[in-house]
Amino acid sequence: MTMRQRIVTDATKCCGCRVCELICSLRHAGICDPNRSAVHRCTVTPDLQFMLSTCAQCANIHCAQACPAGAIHRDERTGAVVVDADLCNLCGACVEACPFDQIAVVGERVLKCDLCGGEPQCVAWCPREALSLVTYALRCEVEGATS
Amino acid sequence: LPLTNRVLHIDLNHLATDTSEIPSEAVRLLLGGGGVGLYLWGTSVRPEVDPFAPENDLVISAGALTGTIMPGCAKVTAVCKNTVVATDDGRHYVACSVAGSRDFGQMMKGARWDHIVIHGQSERPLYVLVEDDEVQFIPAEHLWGTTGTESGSAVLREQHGADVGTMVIGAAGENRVRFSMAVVDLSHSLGRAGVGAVMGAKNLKALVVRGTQGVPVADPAGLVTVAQKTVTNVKAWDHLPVWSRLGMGGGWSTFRYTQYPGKWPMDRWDRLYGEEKRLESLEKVLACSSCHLGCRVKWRIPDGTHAGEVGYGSPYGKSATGGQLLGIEDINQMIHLVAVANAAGLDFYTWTRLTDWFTTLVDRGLVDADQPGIRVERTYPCYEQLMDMTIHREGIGSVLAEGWIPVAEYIGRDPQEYWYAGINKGTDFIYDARSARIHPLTFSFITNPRPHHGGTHSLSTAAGKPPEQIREQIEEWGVSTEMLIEESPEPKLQVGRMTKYTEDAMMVRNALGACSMYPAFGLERMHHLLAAFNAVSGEDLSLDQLMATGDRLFNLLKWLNVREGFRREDDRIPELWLRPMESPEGVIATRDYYGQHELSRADLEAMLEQYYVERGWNPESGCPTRAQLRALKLDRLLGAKQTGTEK
Repeated sequence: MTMRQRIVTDATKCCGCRVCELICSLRHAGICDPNRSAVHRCTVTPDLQFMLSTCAQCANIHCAQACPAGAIHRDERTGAVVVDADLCNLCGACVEACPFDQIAVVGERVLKCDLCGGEPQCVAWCPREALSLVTYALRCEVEGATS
Repeated sequence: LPLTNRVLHIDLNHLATDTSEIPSEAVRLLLGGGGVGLYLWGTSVRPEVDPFAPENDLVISAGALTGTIMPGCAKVTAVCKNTVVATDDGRHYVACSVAGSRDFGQMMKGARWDHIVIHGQSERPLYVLVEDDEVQFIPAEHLWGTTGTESGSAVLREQHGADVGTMVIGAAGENRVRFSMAVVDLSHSLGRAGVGAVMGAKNLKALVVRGTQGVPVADPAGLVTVAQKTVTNVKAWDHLPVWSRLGMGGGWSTFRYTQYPGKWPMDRWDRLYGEEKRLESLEKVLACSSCHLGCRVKWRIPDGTHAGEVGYGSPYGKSATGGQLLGIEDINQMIHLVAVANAAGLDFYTWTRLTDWFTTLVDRGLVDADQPGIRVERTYPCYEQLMDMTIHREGIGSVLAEGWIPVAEYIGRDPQEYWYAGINKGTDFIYDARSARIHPLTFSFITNPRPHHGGTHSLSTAAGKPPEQIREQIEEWGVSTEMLIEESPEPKLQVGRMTKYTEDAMMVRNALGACSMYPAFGLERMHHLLAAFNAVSGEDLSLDQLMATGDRLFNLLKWLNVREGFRREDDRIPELWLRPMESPEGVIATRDYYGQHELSRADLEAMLEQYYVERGWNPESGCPTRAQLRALKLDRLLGAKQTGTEK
């Protein structure tokens, strides 16, 4: 049985503090910028509910399948779907392919959660445990899900 | 990284914009945020300007660390002349009001604006949308008079994106109620500076900001390291579970003695407004950006007439104190009143105290119960109606909307008669020193040009802390601890002297955008903020320089108010603190920090004298000297002509 890891969110616990976005952008892009974070806190109007979202590290990797450069693959150690910056030509095909809007090209970089090498910082820093890293068993193997 | 601050000037007279830069050398002296905000106001507005005049600029600033991951660094400040009448001869103080933010500060910094200065007055109601470098003036007739701070913000977020920063006024600001506020991101307020009324006078319904560029950091790893230290302290703090559950600082156990109004027996207050009652309506704790504590909440009234009503902010302290003062036993009725005040942008503290004073004088037959538009009595329906009349300036509400000194004139009484907390410079205090004791925070109500703590928190805010704990905090301020705290023959805090340093620390925090709750519980120290500032800016400031900046900024604030004619005689010791509170819990007199001695007027006067000495001010006039302003380099910043105060 294949075991995988991903981040799950519990928006009912979110206090809106943006710490996840700030640590993600600071660690990966050296700037405090929600727009350069791979995890997103979104306010739901009108009554201050928050939505949290990040890459589901899909079993069926739409972005990898769409990538013409073969730059996206699964890191078997962490279970994260990662982008090889050396191979990536920033064409944006992955952005189009992601059904969940969790990958973007920002400047010279593809923005996508890589689980921080297995220790996601957003999970570690969240003050309210609204984000957690879970290990789960795939219900069925998907052809082409790994490379 | 360049240390320069970028300033966006918005001219409402001509619906035009301009930009300017504060050079690095000036920023090094003022840090940023509220520090530069005071400088911008002081150098562009003439003394004695009418607070409602178009020339009373409103300077909105985001702190130097706002928008970064440093825990609690999310503050924005507003500098303007307060619309509240501060003295019998009609003077008004210049204030720097402070609010946390979830989005506003982040967006302002992300748009790369450190300061937004609102000049002039629009002919018609509008709101201003700032999206990075783009500015739009958008008609707001559809919002003016029809939306409150919450509904207005919801409309603007619907229109411009759910995560924009919003600063909105409600009916109180629109109607120029003198003690009105602007509400930031639905749950934070810029109060006690008349910001709501100043925006109302400018016909400015709201400021909406979106920034897409983030906050650059010179040393990301260094910033992560220092932020982690504060996070580690927070996680190890044994009080954290209580805070996280209630969404408030000290919890009920602290609140009930620091803000006890002395009307009800304590057990009755506990039963009606205590922790369990709070949890009934608390739906969710809300935090500022970067904050690991969270002191705002979203509430939903569970039952009664207002069942299902939702609100945002910090309703529990206000409802508990206000409920006891007004004699309202139903917490949900009081929370509803907080919601009405928040939607209108009305200062709930001032309104409840002013109304309590008025009603009690009616109860005692000293003021006529029949007032224009209403028969005043101590009932909830009457208060509900009175609040509405105040917000809309109808009948007697038009008098209440003017604040303490005009109300006192109307009824022919002295505000110093009022029996809770105390009043100075036309402003009621948050804490009553008889319940909370004398410590630097309560003492700053006398010395601060704006008699509100505004973040003068330190470990000594909670009474009776062991000297060794306080000493640790004092040591990094670069002063002799022996001078500020004694251990034998009995522990004694030199409150007058120490107030100077807590005020300086507050100015540093307002410039950096750093929350003051963290130091109040020893969770963060000044050297952490220093490391964060250096990591973000790439500067190499020392702790001594940081504290010296605090001194400079407080002198700047003071000087702006000296310019308005404020002198030592305005730093009045409240008569109330010398009248023991006769409560069901016994007689409560103003006592020293360790609770050992009842304090007399002479004791408080001596503390005030010590304060002026420590500040290096002329003790007779209570003003900074010219030499001092020169030494602080304020003369250069402000222009030599303006700095002449005392030789």
